[in-house]
Amino acid sequence: MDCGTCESASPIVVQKPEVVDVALTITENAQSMLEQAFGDDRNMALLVGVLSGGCSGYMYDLQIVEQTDIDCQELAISGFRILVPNSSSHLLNGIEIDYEDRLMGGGFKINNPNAESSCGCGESFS
Amino acid sequence: MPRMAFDDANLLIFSGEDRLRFIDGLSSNKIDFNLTDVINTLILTTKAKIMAQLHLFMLNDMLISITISDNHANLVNYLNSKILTQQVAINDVTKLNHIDLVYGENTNMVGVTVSEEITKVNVNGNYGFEIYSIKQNRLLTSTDQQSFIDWRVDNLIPWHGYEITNKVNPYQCGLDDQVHENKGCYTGQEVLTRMRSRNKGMRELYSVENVEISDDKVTTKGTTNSLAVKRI
Repeated sequence: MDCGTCESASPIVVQKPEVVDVALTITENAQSMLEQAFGDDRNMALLVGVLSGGCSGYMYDLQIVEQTDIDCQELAISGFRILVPNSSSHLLNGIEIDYEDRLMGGGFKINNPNAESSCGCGESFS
Repeated sequence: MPRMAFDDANLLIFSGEDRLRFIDGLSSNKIDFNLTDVINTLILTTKAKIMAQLHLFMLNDMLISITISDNHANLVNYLNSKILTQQVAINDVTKLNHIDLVYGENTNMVGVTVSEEITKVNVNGNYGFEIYSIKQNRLLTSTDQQSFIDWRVDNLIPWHGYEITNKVNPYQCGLDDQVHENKGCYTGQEVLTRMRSRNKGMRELYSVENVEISDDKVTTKGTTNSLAVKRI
């Protein structure tokens, strides 16, 4: 088999999506939870990312990080640092980050106007 | 063993540290090479229709996919759109290799055999693929399509363009074994889980004598028997 590891390789040209300036909102419930998560340390940031997979094709990925190697745009919202990867910006522009306090199925929720459909658990969208 | 040129397949290489998780999140079977050398899996739409079938194996550190789809360009665009921040690169090395389909008796157990000239990938014990550089002369291949069809009918093997199309889900064309029932979320999973739990829309592939069925109900017409799909 010729693996194309030599100069004859033909890498697929990745069509990178257009980077958009993201605007997002955080509900009061979500802000309260972020207050608890961050404490007084505002050097930390909430990384709002998207991974492939889930029932609908994309999955939200929330992480608290100090910094990241991912190429991101940084937003300051209500005193919180929010990082959004440029490669996912077209999927996340206009989202609302909410927090639902329920025994089952609770937690952070993303309301995304770009999503055509979402799976039952709300973690995945397309 | 009969050998056919199989130019409907594409050969993709996935590299990067997220390559296994990437495919696992997008396809219906569990991607765990501790269990087997070859993993047959499906890329599905959100409605669980079949977009592509992947026969995956590892070669050194590369994840190789013998990929069969109705529209390869669309598939590649779809895969690319899902990479986002993940460490994944996709190379298409189809044009560098011949891909032959080898089927019938004496096909070895599922696995991969690599020699200097040929990489043999037996995907399910019934058939496999042999991949070799286009710098080598093409091995002698059969053009007897009817023999291949009759073999498929005798062994209940669904095939692309016949049973496997982008209008059906895995449970409607005999690819149940490529759906892992306990893995986490993947595209199309909700639909398939609902089908299983409600036992609705489940179908199975079966072989029937030609005299017992009309042509419009068969998916593959063999010499004496045909393949068809019926509700369970």
